[in-house]
Amino acid sequence: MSPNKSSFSEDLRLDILKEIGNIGAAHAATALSTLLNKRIDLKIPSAQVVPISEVNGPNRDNNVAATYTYIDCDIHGHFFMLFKEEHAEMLVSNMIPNTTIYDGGLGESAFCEIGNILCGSYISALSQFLNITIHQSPPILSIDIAAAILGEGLIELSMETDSVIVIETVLVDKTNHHQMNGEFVFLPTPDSMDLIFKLALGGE
Amino acid sequence: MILVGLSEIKLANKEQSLRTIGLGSCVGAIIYDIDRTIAGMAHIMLPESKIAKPGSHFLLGKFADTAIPELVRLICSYDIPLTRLRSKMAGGAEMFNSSRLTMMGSIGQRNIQAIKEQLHRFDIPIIAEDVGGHSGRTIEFYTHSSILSIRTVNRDEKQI
Repeated sequence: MSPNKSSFSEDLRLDILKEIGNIGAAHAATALSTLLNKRIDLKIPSAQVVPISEVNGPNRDNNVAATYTYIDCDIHGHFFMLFKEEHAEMLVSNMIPNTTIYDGGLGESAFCEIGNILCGSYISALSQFLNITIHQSPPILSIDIAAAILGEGLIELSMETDSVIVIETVLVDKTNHHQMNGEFVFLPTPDSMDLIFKLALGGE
Repeated sequence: MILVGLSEIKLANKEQSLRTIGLGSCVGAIIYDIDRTIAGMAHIMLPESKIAKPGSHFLLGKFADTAIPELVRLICSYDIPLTRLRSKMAGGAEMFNSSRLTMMGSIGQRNIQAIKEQLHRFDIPIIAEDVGGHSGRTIEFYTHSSILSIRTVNRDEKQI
């Protein structure tokens, strides 16, 4: 994916990315589990180099509640937390009874705060692992078609590249009768990817 | 049904339809033959190819100023005269209301504007459009009827 000539094999790169997804999401899952006081499981993360034209397949045509966070400082990228609309509702009403993600008030804030905490734990795990500084913007809520939400991050990346690295992790709450699946999608910029590989593999 | 991915251009014959999923500030531009023999759709992400990284390779469907000429070229290569071409479009929303994303926020409007300028260059009339707003759209165009069907998150499916 990176336009740079690199000695690292594609497999090794993807393994590093999966590990990053794992570390980040494990921290985020712990944070969510503390927040909700229940066990949250983590599916094995996927990291893929995907042509921009293929990121938004038919599986992204569903309605979701999502938070969008912009990542900057040593690395740059776009971070999305996506839940099915009804799962987001459950999440918020678990935290603060009688609120909803559509209320433009407390419920919306609660959902954004969950996004903030989960993105924060994901990102801080990553920054410790790589020993770099990463800042995150306050999250913005969007309730819309998943593909349209992710598209906003892809537009900016598409100025530089025709393919992107998509690191996805799925969180599962099994204690509930209804499964609650949440998803993180992290889209780093190509420059950031080069830095991540360099740092993860111990310099030049 | 033919799926059109981000920054792709695809053509469909009269038995087929063209579908693209989750247009946010992107715009789905359709150019079709008024005799309903062929239609093409581009999933346009950005207004101008000059903002691409210099020397980088990109799909022609990504930018309004490369996508529309390419769509016209492809359709006309089937011996369809320019005067038989019509257009419809949807998308160009502002997904996030935020000053932090001012550049992104205006992309939708700039995409719409750039596409209209391109269509004007070729004298292709815009028959219908569903653009702007704050919601994403999933759209499907049927060559045989020239109908563009649009789904958004909080509105019934609409046809233009």
